[in-house]
Amino acid sequence: MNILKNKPIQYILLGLIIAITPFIFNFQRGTLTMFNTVIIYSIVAIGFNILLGYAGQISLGHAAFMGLGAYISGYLTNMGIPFILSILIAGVIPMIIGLILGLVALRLEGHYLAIATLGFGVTIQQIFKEWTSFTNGYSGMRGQPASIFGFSFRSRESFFVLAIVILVLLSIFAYNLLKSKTGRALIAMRDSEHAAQAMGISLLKYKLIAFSISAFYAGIAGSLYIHLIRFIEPNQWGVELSLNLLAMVVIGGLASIEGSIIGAFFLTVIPDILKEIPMLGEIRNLSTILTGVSLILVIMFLPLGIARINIQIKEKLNNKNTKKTALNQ
Amino acid sequence: MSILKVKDLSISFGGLKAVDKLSFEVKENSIYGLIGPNGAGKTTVFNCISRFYTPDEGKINFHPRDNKEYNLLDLKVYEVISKGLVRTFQNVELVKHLSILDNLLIGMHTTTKGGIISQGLKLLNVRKEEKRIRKKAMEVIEFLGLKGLENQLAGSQPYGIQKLVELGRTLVSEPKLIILDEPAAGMNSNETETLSKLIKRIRDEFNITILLVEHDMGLVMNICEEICVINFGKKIAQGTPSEIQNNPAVQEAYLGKGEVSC
Amino acid sequence: MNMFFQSIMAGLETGSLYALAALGLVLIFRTSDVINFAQGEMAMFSAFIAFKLFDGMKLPYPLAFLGAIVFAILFGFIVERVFIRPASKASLVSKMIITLGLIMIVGGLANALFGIDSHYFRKAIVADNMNIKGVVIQPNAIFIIAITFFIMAGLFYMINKTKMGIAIRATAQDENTAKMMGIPVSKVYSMSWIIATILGAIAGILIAPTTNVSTAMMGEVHLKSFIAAVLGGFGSFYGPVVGGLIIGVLDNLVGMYISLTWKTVIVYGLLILTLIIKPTGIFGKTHRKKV
Repeated sequence: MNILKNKPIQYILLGLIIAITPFIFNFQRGTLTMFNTVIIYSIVAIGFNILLGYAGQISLGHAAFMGLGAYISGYLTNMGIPFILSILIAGVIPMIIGLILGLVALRLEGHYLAIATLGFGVTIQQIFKEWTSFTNGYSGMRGQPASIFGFSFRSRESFFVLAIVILVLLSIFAYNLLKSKTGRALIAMRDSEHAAQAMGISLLKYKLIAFSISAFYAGIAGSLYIHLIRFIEPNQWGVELSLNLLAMVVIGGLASIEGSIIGAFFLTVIPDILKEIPMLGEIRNLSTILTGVSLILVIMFLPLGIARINIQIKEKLNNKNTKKTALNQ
Repeated sequence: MSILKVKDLSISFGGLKAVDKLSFEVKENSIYGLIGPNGAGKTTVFNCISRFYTPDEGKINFHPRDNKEYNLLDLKVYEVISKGLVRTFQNVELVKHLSILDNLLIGMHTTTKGGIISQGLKLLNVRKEEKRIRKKAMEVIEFLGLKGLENQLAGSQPYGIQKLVELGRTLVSEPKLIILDEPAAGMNSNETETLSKLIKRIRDEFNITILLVEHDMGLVMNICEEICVINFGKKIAQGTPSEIQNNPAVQEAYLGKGEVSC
Repeated sequence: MNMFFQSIMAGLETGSLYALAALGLVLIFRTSDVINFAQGEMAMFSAFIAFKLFDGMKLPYPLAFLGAIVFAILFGFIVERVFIRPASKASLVSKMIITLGLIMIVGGLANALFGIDSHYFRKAIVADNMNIKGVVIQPNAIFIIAITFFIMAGLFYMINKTKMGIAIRATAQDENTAKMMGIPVSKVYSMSWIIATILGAIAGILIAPTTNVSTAMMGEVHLKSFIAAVLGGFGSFYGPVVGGLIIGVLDNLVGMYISLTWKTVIVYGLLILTLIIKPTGIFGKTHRKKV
């Protein structure tokens, strides 16, 4: 059973099982939409995690990259360009923009990327609102169902399969990348910038790689989003979404692909459940407040997130005095 | 033939001159020691050579091979290793969350081939490359006597082993010159003894020139062929170990510390 | 020409408020090494308190203002004690994430407590406009500029001349040395968070007549105060003030002469330009980092 220990094969098998569940059980359409968005946010979160968990950089503008992907893909498919090509372009253009923004902000100390991307997010959102010939402004943009070689992913079930295939592919890509030269360089950079530099690792180059990959993943997810919901408008892509993406990664587990997916799941499903609870559901923004509280609690007490909660508890019990965690050094 | 030439190197922090018109040359295949009392500016010199600092004045030239010469000041800090010059740090700088083997693989970063896409897709060339660098890293691990520990986390190893891993990480990059920043710091006399033998073996078996900064006089006098003594950023003496031991200026610089044992 | 002076005047008015907020950011950054991304939300919350005291409890405006300041003192103190201090050993990234969590908590709470409506809040000074050679000047604008300069003069006096100020500067320079010299570093942290929260609250209350009081009111001010801090430089206390004034004036001139719609985009362009040309800001110096 050695083959089951291979992570990519685990991803494929797990993806397969999850992809067929909607065909076995009868979920409501709303529930299926939610599952689909979990998958979409998982994709952004994996990319974001490469940036935050591995390269240690904060972005407050990933909602803008996701929005860009959504608008680009929506616009292109509405013009009759095939979905496959559109989704690729929807990933590549944010990646190039990320590369340019990164070239400016990543040369500097850590907090400058956060500030630059905060401004970037607000600015791009402004562009979404005002550049009506491209985005249709406040009226919003309608999207078409994704279709590949004539097969249309119109039903929620079929879209789920498509989204999972893309998630599995991107997870395997991220896994492979992080297990080779690039991943080692990123981890080296995080643990000791001096050692990394002395070993020939250009900090700027690897921060740029992480940032542009994360923008690519966000763009792909954005593209999937518009072909799932089939409607987007500028207000969705604000700093609130960027903060939520960050919370997914931190709460789920920094530097962990599984953590990204777990985080996306929790932050999408729990607010939905909360809404249903009587009394509690009445409180406006309860889920936002709870997300903020959990974000802070996790970063203080479980810096590796819920994905690796067992390891951390063990470690805490073993050596209460020496806290050795990924971020607290 | 000198592999490293430092000429009129000066650098100051705020108003303080940390290094003042320092010049020295390191001969190929030698073990060269840079010593001096605390705060003399030794590590600063190292940081200039390895390009963590940019000096205010001076030249640093590196001749890894007969027909090649690099002005190190033209290079960025991460470009130095690929020219054949690599360093260690005073307080071991390992990648704590990776295994010993992975730490050595990082030493081969610049010579590992494969682009982002082929790494992500794990294409054949990347697999081959991973095999090649792993084999090489294992050879060095064996040379250092660390076999069996390769999959242990580097951060959880005792200090002495971490120092060896750091040394190993420099070796895998196939350097021409290794600069060691206080290699014996925090070691007991037995460990220091083993270390001196190891440094000699590295020079003899791999033909690598060694430049080291050290506090431990025993180690320096034992293995260095030439020594440069600096104090307050200036060179006060240069010569063989015995010349240095008998140099009155050196004795004065160290006076009261009692570290110069004859 | 009158239009030009008028927009310069309006620019100085909003610019003073950006400067106040930016000064708060830099003060916290210099002392406790945290970029407080929640500054805007905290300011919004304080402005809401002032509004509720004024509108709900029918207190006179000055008392409502004062009440909000008292609230800001407590607020800054509590945030530092509860959220920031326990993480003082954590990395810069972790600390930033904590302030990002604060955005969600403070913003969410404000939404839950005060609702999503936007309310008109009166100006500090309600008097007839003055007309000087065709340039219309609002007394409130003069008041805002004056109060900002008054506060800054006081603050700079404190930073430069008083014991607390020396402690703040020492902590900003080197926390460990400051500790060894017997400087009560933890008091400095509390103090800088309190002062920064007050600065934010003042900015929030004074901007309210233009933006209205709502949970979204500080979005733009917040971003501009960041740009002001970068432009002036995080390294000095004067930088953000100058940066804030420049942003305020530029913002208004762009809005007047180029485009109101693309104002934000153009001001953001200025941030990017600063990062390319002089990332340490106008007053910034480059330091050699120790290895």
